[in-house]
Amino acid sequence: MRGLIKRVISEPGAETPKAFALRVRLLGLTYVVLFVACCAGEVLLALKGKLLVTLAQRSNVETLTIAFLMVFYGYLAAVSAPGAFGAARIVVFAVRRRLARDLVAERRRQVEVLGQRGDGPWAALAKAVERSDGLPIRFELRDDAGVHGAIEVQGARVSQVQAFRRGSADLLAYFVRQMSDVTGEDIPIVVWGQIDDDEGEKYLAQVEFARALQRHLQAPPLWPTVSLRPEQIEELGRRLRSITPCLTDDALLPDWEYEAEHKLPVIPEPLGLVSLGRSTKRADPVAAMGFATLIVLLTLAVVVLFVVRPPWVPG
Amino acid sequence: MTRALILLLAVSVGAGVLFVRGCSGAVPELVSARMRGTVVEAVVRNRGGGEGTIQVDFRLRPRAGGAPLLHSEKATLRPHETVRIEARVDGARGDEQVDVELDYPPR
Repeated sequence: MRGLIKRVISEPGAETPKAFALRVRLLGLTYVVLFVACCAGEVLLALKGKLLVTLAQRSNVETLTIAFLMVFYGYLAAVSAPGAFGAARIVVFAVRRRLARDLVAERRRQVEVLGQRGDGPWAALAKAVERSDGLPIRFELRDDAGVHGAIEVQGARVSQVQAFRRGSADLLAYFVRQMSDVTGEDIPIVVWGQIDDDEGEKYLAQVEFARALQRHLQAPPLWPTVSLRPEQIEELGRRLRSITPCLTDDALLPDWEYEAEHKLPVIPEPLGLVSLGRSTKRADPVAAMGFATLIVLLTLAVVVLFVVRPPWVPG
Repeated sequence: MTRALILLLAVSVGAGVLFVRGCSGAVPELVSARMRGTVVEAVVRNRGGGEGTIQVDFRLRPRAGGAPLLHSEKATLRPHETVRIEARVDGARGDEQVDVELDYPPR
């Protein structure tokens, strides 16, 4: 179950370079579908408002539900608009690359268009990570088009630096997943900086305390620690290089980070005697926007059905 | 897990289809409308497989101009049924142009 949640909700696309590239395309498509569906929903509610209000009044459904749907569609349209615009730019960039005589020069131009660099996302790991030779851990994300920032690991903190457009948390998920794969150790991400930075800083301070105490006592690691050998560093660098070309497209899409909570009210409110729940620290935008898209499409399908084939109501 | 999700999806789709089949309302369509003396007449067909009460709004426009005469009726349609709805309109001359508006559900 944990593996499924990780694959679908918190870290989709972190398994292989191919899955990472697929995730970027899927996210772009999701933003476009969500934006178009929300706009269609708003137009439909506005045009068929009289019929829907009549149906609501005659079937004892709260008329405010229609207003709720208008706000819901409006909010999601606003959230997905930058993503839909980014997806359109991804398509334009891909066409330009296909038509370009000098592919590398075209890709460099596209990287320049991404604009200013800044600090990217960070996350805290359950285990501290260090190199066996004691050198700092830094992976530069470089390809023939230029530098897409770098990933740094300091103790249990993993962060993306010099990132375009605030970076991508999924890049960190991919990196940590590959690190687990290469070392054969389970290294889960326990706090995401974009979601709960206070908790993350508190946790990382504890890790640093343990590492400082270890150095002071000259003792073996007090905090669970994973040591990376040079050949493992090399392998990780190779795996990161294989996704670097996707990072331009990834940077064009907004990185909406949310927590996820799933609740199943067995005996619902107002009694609320039994309710099942499960929460996940991070929902990847593919999962968050994907589920939002499903709900929008579902509600839109019901509204369209009611317009095309109105339900029976008491006369 | 996957099997449970597929089952849930199948049950939801089945329930949806049953709901649409069993709980659809009428889809009224005007076939014709005319004046017969002071009686206005409309032939209405239910295009849908559902049933329900419709509202028929007659708007009689005098050919010589002036304010139109309004009259409303309600009728219950059965699935795929074609019905004739008649109403005597006091004050009508019989030569008015008839506009008919059908609403389901009635407003």
